[in-house]
Amino acid sequence: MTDSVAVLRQTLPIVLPRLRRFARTLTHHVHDADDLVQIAIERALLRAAQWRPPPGGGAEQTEAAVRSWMFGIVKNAWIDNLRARKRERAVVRGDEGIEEIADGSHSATEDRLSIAAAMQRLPEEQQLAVSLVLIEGLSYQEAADIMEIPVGTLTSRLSRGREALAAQLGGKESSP
Amino acid sequence: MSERTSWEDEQIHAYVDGELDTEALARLEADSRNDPVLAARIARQSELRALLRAGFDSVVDEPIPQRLHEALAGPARGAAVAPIGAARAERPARRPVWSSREWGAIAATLVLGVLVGQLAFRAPSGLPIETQQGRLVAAGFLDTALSTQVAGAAPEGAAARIGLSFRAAAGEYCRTFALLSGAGGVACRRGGRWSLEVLEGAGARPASGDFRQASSALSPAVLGAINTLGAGEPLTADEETQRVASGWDTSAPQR
Repeated sequence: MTDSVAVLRQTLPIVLPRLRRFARTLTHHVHDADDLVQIAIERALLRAAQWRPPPGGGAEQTEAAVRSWMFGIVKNAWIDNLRARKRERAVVRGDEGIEEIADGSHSATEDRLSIAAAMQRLPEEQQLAVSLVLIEGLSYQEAADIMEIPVGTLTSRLSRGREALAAQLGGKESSP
Repeated sequence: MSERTSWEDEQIHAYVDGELDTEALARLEADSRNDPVLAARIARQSELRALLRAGFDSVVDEPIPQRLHEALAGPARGAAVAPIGAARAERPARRPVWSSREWGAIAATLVLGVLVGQLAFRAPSGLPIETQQGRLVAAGFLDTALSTQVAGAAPEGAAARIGLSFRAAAGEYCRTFALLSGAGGVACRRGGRWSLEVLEGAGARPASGDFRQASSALSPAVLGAINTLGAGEPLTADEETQRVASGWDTSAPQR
């Protein structure tokens, strides 16, 4: 048991840069993203005793297992946070001024959204799918496991996310 | 000559995602050589993937913030974590950013809408400015530069450069910055974010595209802000390096 905790502690720093990137694709504020990662690390360490390294796995498999597990924790922390924010927003309003200024300030023809901004506009389940597969480069199976959905659901979310992003980023038509 | 072949979008996606089985992969590649429409569809999907990846790739090379190292050393110290945005919610008074008397002189040089438009258009990743409770704070690459760059030492290709850093009379750290577009200003660390004290559009400085020029000349507005903030001695390079490593927050509770 203490063994698995030691393995986890050893492996976490290796996956940390990718965890930060994953979090940044979900919320593009650097500090909010690092908050997510911090929460995930703390949750992981609190639950470290429940974690088991893959049986007979080498360093690479262990790393992949820790990565998957941590991505899942980041995802859950992010969703928890979104729900909390929604509740908050029902009470307080604000924080929207600059987006409106930006939207109105230059002509639609040359309006290309930045990648991070375009990602933020996707529905959360598409954002997760795009992030895990297109940015993190995970397999469909691994991404589906992290999102706790079937592969077929993942690929349809991916398709919709791709269409929306292509339309926003390039202004190009995506195929019907 | 070209011929049309019928491939579903999802198969093309699977191809660029490395999820197509060997047999289908061989057929798709063979078809794409004779079907320019198919080839273009594949290219578009590959581009999108590359674009997304490029938008976030730099994150993995960033230095790991100290607080994450501390969290890793954990679990004893990390049992209670404030929810995301808690620091924000606790911030007391709304502070009108542009109506304050002391910034009145700046208004002439400030073309916020235009500036934000330019930045959004040029930003390598993310809009570098956003509002938070009625104030403007740095986001994206500007936020990263303010937190992680030592003055004068911008990494190659950086879109922002730091001029000098100092502590204001109230105790917080502030830094002057210049952007490639020629825009620049002063940001101070408050409540875990970089709050923009002065923001000048590109027109306020010679837009030479040359950082050395842009960051060496402090404009009257920036100098005025430095005075108003009651700046002490600029930080030395060593002091800056230490702040980069351990964070710029002062009065705000460290998590």
